Parts: sequence; C-alpha cells; structure tokens
Amino acid sequence: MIYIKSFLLVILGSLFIGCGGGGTNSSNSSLDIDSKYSIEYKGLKFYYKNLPTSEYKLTPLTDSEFNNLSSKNKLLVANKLLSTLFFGYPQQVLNSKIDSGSFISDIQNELKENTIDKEQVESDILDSSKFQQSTWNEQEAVNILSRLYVMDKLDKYFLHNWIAYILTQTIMFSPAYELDSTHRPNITTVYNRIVNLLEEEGGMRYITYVHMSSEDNWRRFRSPEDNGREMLEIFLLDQNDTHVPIAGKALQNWKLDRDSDTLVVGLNQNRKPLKLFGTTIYNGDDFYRELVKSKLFINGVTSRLVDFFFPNFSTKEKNSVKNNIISSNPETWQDILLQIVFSKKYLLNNYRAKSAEETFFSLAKKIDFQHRVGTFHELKNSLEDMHQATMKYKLGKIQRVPLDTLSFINYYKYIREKVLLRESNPDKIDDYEAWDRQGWSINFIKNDGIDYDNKTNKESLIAFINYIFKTTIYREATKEEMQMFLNLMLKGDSGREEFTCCFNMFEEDDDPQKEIKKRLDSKSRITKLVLEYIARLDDTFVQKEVK
Amino acid sequence: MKRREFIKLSLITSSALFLPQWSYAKNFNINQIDFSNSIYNQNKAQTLIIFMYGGASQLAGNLTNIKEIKKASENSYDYFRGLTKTENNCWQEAGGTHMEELISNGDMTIFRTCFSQVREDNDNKAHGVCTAQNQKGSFAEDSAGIIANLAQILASNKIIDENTIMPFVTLDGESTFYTEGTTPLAGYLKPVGITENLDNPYKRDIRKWFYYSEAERALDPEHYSDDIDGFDPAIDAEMEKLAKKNNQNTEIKNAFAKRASMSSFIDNIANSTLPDLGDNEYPKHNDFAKKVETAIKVLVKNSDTKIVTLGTGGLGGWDDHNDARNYVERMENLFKTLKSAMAHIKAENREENINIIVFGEFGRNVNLNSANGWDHGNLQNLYILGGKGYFNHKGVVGETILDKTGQINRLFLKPKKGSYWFEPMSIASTIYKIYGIENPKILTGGYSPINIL
Repeated sequence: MIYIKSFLLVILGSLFIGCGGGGTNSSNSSLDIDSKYSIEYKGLKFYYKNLPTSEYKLTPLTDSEFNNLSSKNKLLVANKLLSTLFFGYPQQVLNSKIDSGSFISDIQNELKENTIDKEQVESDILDSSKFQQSTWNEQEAVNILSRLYVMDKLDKYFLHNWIAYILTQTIMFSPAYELDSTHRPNITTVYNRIVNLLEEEGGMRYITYVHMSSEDNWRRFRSPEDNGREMLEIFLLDQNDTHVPIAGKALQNWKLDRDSDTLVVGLNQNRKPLKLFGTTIYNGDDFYRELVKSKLFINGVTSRLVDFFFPNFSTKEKNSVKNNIISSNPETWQDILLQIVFSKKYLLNNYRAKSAEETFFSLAKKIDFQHRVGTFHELKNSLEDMHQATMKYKLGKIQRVPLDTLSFINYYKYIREKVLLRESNPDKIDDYEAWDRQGWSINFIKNDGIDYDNKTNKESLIAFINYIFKTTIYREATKEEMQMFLNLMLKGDSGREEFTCCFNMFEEDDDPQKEIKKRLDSKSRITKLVLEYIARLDDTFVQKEVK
Repeated sequence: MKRREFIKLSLITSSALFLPQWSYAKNFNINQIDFSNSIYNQNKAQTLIIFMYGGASQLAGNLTNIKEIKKASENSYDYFRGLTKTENNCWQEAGGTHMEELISNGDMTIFRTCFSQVREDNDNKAHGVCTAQNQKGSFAEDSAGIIANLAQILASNKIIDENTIMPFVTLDGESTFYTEGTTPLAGYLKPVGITENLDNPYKRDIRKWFYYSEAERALDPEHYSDDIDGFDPAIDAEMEKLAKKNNQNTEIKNAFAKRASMSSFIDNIANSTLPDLGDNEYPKHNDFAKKVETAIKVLVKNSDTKIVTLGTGGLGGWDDHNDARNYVERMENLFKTLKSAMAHIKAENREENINIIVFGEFGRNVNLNSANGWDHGNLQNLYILGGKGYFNHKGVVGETILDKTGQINRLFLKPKKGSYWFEPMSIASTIYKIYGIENPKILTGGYSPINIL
C-alpha cells in the first residue's frame, strides 16, 4: 500500500517540479510528520532528517577550539566559514559574534531556523526597477545570483539555496546552458527542484533519482547509451564500459524528441532481466532507482564534493576526508556539505582558491556593497570571462577556480574594477539606473568603530588602514605595507605627522556639514588606495589555512 | 542565444583522479632525455594543437567502410542528406572537399588508425580519462602534460629562458597539456591565455589622481586628472613590488607577473596585419576561425611561441550522441578554416616550420543510434598539417575494418590486420621528436613517434 502511494508521489513530484513549478511548499500537509520518514518506493526512501553535528565523523571545529585560536586566526577562520557560505558581516558585527564565545554553534543554529522573509526576497529580485529583467543572458541564472545577494541572513532558506547553488556548479547537477539542447528554464527547474526538495527534507538519493529521470538531465545527456554511461560515471565513478550497453538497454525507450527537446518515455521498454548494481533491472526507472540505492552512490557523490572543496589535498588526504564522511552514513546533501564546511580539516587545514562567488558575496556584505540594475547581469558575464560561469558547463566546474593567466586576470579585473574601486554615490541611493550607485557605500568607511579621540594622526591612520585590511583580507597590514601608505599620506616629523593634502581625515571647516563631507572624502581616497593594493594580493583570492 | 563552447579545457584537468590502476610510464628524469640541438634548430618547429573535445567521429575522414556500416546500423544513414565519398574516401559534405585539396597540395596527412588497444583491454571509453591520457601522452597517472614536459626539457637545454616571450599560449584556458608533474614549472614556462578577439583584460586602467605622491603631482599637475593614461607613478610600482613579495600562491603570482608584458604582447599581435589569402580567406563571423587566425598570427609574429593550444569552441563540441547532422557542418567549417590556416602559413612563408595537429580523446562508435547520434568509440583520425621541413606528408595512412560485436549499438571501426596503427600516445611522441627529443619513448611509456611521416 505504501509503495503505491509513494510511487504516485514520485511521479507527481517529478511532474510538478520538473515543470518548474514550486512543488508543495507547505510541509507535507497530508502526511503525518513521523510517517514521512518511512515512505519509500521499492526501497528508495524519500525523506531524511539531517544528521546532528554530534554524529559527524569528519571532526567538526568546536566553539572551544575556535575560542582557543589566536585573534588573527579566529578572524581568518570566521571569514573562511562565512565566505564559503557566500556570506559575511561588517567588521563590527563580526567582532561581536566572534567575541560571543559561541561563534561556531551560533552559525550552525542560524542555519536551522527560518528567519528570512522569503516573500520579500522573491519579490525584490523580480523587481525590474532594482534588478534588470531581460529575455537574454540567461535571466534565470542572474536571478539566482541576485537572490544570494538579497538574502540578508544566514538561515535555513539561505542554506538550501547555497546547497542548490553548489550542487548545480558540479558535474552532478549542472543545468549546462551552453548546450543547444538545453533551454533557459532548465536552469530554474534544476535549481528550484533541489531547493524545494531540500525544504521538504528530501534525501540525496531521492533528489538525484528525480533529477536523473528529468527532462533537464536528458537535455544534457541525450541518448540511452550516453545518459546511462554518464550517470554511472558521474554518480558512482563507474567507468566500466561493459556496464554501458546494459544501461543503454534499460533506457532503450527513453528519448529526447527533437520537437522542443522533449523527453519521451515510450512503451517499448526492455522486458528482459538485466544484471547491474548486483540486482536485476529491466527499465529506465529501475536503472535510476537502483543506481541511487547502490552502495557506490554515497562514495561517488561524496568524492565529487570532497574534490570540489579540497582541490589541493592529495588523493590520500581526500580519501581520508571522504571515508570519514561516509562512515557517518550521510543521507542528505546537508550531511555532506555542512560536515565539510564545519570540519577542522576544512577550516584549519585546507588551502584553495576562493571562488568568485565566495569573494563577491562575502565582500558585498562586509563593505555594504550597493548594486545597480545591471550588477548581476554583469557578474554573470564576468563569471564567464573568469571561466567560472555559473551552471553553464556540460560537465560542471570540475576545476572550480581556474587560475591560468587569462581566467585569473579577468577575476582580478572584476573584483578590482567593479567592487573594490567603486564607491557608491550616496546621492544616487534611490536611482538604481545610475552607474555610480554601484560600489561600497559610505557606511563601510563611516562605521569603522574606531575611537579617534586621543589618537595622533599617525595612530588614526594606522587604525583605519588596518580596519580596511581586516575587513577585506582578515589581517592587519604588515609593517612594510603600512609604511608604504604612511609615506604617501603623512608628512612631518615623527610624533607630529600631518596628512598630505588629500588624505586629511580630520580636515576642519566652519560648516559642520562640509567638514563631515571633507573628512569622508579623505577617508574614501585612503580606502581606494588601500583597496587598490589589496586587490593585488593573493589574500583576496584564496581561502587560507591556519598556520 | 546559445554558446556552443562545449567542454572547456579546464573541465578536464582534474580528471586524472579517476584514472584506472594500470600505469605504464615512469616519472621522467630530465637527465635521461637525449636532446638534439641540431634537430631543434633545423626544424624550428612551432605547433598549433587543436583538441576536439567530446571525441569527434572519424567518418568525415574515412568512409571506407560505409557500405557495411549502413547495413549494420540501427538507424539509417540517409538521415544525413548527403554522404558522398571523395577520391580518398573522405566525406565530401563534411569537409571532404577541403581535405582533398590539402592532401593534393601535400599539406596534410590523415591517419585513420589512431586506436587504443590499452583502452580496449581495460574497457574504458570515458571522456575525462581519455582526454587526460592523450594530453599527457601517457597512461601513467602521475605524468605531466605533454607541453609541461616539453617546457622543462627546452628550458633545461637553454632553448627557452626567462627572456623568451610567451613560449606557450592557450586560447582556451589551461588544460591537461600543461599539467605539472613532480617538478613544478617555473613561471615563465606556464602558458598564457589570450582570446580570439585579442581583448586585453591585462591592461590596468583607472588611475586616479590621488594615487600619485605630492612630488609627482607637483611635477606634472595636468596628468592627475587623466584617469586612463597617466604614467606609472611611484606608488603603483611600490605596490606592485610589495604585492609580489607578499604573494605566495604561485599561479596568482605568475598571472600578476605576466600582466604587463601580456598587455603589450596582445596589443602587438592585435596591430599586426593579415596577408591577402585570396579565395582562402578565413570564414567570416566564426569564433573558431577567428581563434585559428589569431593562433597563426601569434606563431608567425612571435617565433618565441612554440605551441599554441585551442579547442573547437565556436564550432561546437564533438560529443555527438544525438542529432549528429550538424557534425557535417562543423567538420566542413573546421576544414575550411584549416585550409585558410595553411594558406595563411604559406603566405607568410612558414610552412616549413609551423605545423597543425588535430585530434581528440577518442573517435566514435559508428552505429547511428536511436537518437541519430554516435556513442563513444576507440578509433579516431589524426590530422597533421604543415611542418613540411620535417614532416613528409603521405595523404592518407591506415586502413580500417568494421567490428560488429553483435551487441546492440556496438559497431566499432578498428585497424585492419596488417595496417599501420598507433596508440594515441604516439602523437605526444611525435611532438617531442620534432622539438629535438631523440628518445621520446621515455616520456610516453614506450610509445614511439609515428614513424610513417
């Protein structure tokens, strides 16, 4: 009985979600909450509770271990964690969170709660007066980038969007809009399906099963043999060519019709038993279902994600991380992804290039970055120039952050010219069309939290420069770096230094309004100069390890 | 709306992770390489490698077995609306006419039997692994890429040094061709990336007046309102120096180190002119043709550049599992472009030195499947053009037979018994040889250069 009910749910779920609809948003209204976790279809369970952190086998970093780090390392680890999640806090807020003594568990708890006003977020990103809506340039991908920017809290909805974003960057779920056979809505359907199923506590086997059976997936891998081969390789790391004809046979009645690239499942299905995954299968549904139930599945998907987050670990180190995760018996994407992100291995020992999304979204929150209508179209295009295009590639981002000269220079150029050297004009705050609305806002330099009273010019300048360094690259300026700026911005004898003409943070004027403006203008010049230098540092572009 | 760039080179780079257990080559030791300065200086070789990501069907250059294939295929080859054999059994509609012209001019050899017995024995036809192996020229998991090896050898023999301008250039990002082995590559040996339109992201502009010191401002006040041009102020140089000192990441360091020289390199190439190619001018409005034109310009104008690599972005990918009809047009465009490239090379009198090598990870199954496409195969064509100072072009080499496995959708071309054939690793061996390496087998795990050229 439960099989029949469940099978109907699968089919209905696939239809609704596959068509780009939202599926159900209310929490399983017709289902008893406890019985939900026992629903299965031929052995494939649909829903799972996420593992509690206490059951993670890849050792997580605890609050007390975090608190025992040096101040410098606390800042580094906190920013590494937040930027990995595409998030950040202004320096003052971050300091107080770090000082709370429960930074790690607070973040974990925030990710369990629903605090974002979803309705507001969704309506904001579709407001064409603030976010350009176009029929070109894959608006669907642009909306996803805009959403990540608009969400202003770390919460469960944020996490589900982040998970969906990460998965759609990989070979497993890339909507692959570069292909002729894929269409723009596939971006939305693949991504939203994951978000919706995560909201419903869908397990990763079920989410993958639904994805593999979808038209979106068939638009990427388009013949029975191709689709079968790739699913085996992508999710099980199975490259045995002798398995391919078996998969092709099971999928013999599946076809991507050229008319609107429509997936058609014919009635001419295979009816002879086939041996695969240590069991008997007959048709495509059997193939996809038994594939996700296979023992190799968890190994395959964990490997994919470990590669994504630990690109510079040796094979031995990666295997160790992977095996620890697998031993915790993960059944949800969150079980793997948060286990990685909160682990000591990741937070303390991992060094890798930071993705452009990690750099952009975290910086945006920290420097109170203001967007204009076209900002996210521009970001999407720039990601393509960096060869970090979102959801574009047929095989996903196997190399998440290419650092060849051309890719990196485009990355640098974007961060330097479109983010760090752009100051938002406060007079244009209501004019989203204005070019000079884009950039860091005056709040970034106004709210530095520094008490300038009783400080000399030199001490004040040092404090301000260090504030910019700490906000953006989580460290203070070195002695040599500081001296370079002091030489340029100060003159006069030691102990009685004065600002050179355009950097006077304390310029006076009889008109108090003018005085404020003059001082902020000076701070702005200092900031741009410091950021010009910071853009040239690899600290801006890497997730560092703790030394 | 669509960009048919298909698989980026960079997508393949980490695929070595999935390499199977078998391993043939050993780590290479620079001291074991026999390098001939005289061969290097005699050949003065420069190479454009075009990698056909996705695995291109061999049929465009080989319709020898088409009668049998048609008989055994699941779907009818009538689907293609034109499957005419040329004199040398090429597919006329799929670039065959251009192939014939290149062959009759003595500009190209088609090798029809690049086949992997090793993969056959190991049941492997996966994109990632086969791409990595072919770009490394080795079945060994820990090997470096072909170009990384070559770079080390040329550097150790003082052919390339820090003053060499852009020895290796890519128009498609970094690939396994450049994967480092146990010895890290020095910055000057790493590839540099450019685009077909010679965009110059390397240029750093927006210099605000406040970047300058008071002394500098006093020297030339007029310049301080110029956001774009300005001049290199002391603070800029100091920042550059300090950042260089503080940066640890070698790739980022390298990219910054090359930024300024790349900027002028690109401007120089962009300002160079194209000779009159008459009827052989490059196809218009075609990104791939533009890439090839740019690549040839780089090789012609900068003799320091040894190898340029590119994929076929702009034409599309070759993973034709379904609706393979547009393969025909892609091949036509590919060979039309290659004909232009040869005309370009000849117009610059460089056909003795510059060669073009075209291959991919594998060829394709010849059964036209239920989706009117071809699945993965294990035999491909290798096309070699130019380099007439050291290649003696033979037109067409190798004969094939149709292997009917009896399984549905499993129709493969294989080398005919007694026909010359080679493993894909021999392509690497051939490249090494023309650059003066006399014992390339040491780098490829025992595979010799293609000896028939």
